[in-house]
Amino acid sequence: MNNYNTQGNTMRLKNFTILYVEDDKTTQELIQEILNCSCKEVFVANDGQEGLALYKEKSPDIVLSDIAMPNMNGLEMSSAIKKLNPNQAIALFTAFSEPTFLKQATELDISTYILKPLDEEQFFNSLNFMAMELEYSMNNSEKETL
Amino acid sequence: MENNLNKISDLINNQNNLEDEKKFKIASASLVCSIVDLDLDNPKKYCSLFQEKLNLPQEEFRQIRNNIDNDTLNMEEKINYIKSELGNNMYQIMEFLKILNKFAIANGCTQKSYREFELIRDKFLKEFY
Repeated sequence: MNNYNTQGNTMRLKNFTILYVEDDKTTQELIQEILNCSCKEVFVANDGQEGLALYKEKSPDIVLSDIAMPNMNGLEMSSAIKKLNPNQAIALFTAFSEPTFLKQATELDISTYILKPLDEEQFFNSLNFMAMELEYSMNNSEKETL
Repeated sequence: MENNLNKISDLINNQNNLEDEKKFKIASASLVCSIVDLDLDNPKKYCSLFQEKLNLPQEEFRQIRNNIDNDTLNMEEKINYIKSELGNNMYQIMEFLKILNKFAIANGCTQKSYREFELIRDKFLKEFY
């Protein structure tokens, strides 16, 4: 991840804000640095509780979160966010080693997962796909308004 | 967003040529089969998804599935064919991918299924990223 390329396929993300929730400081700093170069604005929280508070304050376009965290885990936070906004785009980091968590996540209608260990290209492809979905939703909303 | 997913079924239903419709269904079902392991998972779990999202009733799917091995198109060709049928329209392609995603996570999601979905997704969208 050290030689990440922010010149390539990240232009779509420039239009969107991201809330990134991660309790591991080393991972947090690395991902935050990457996101800062690619997104309109990045908000960072250390656990689900902080993440939920920041979500309410900032209303980000995309939520990107780890699952296992102290105080409030990523699923509890996602559930609370989905109650506030059922259409919120959320992606969860996972090593797919927690099938119970994943079952809960799919029940929350979370359809995007970032696989651990992190692969830079897949990471940006997944975020870009979410950005494309958001663009699509925004275009549809505009058409409906007209 | 849910309403948008029906567009793919509409597209299949509206195909004038029955052979084209069948070819589209075979290519789609074949991609689904590479994502979910129907030999290990109970196919009945996916019946409603096949019917709802790909307009494929159980019996028709069974016939298609039995013939998938005889299909001469490789993965790349199937993807290119579906893209072409969707008019190379990014948003139509995304609707199609959202359907594939539904299959990938329908069974609680496994790493293998999701990884395969990602590979297919990125082949569909490589020129749009």
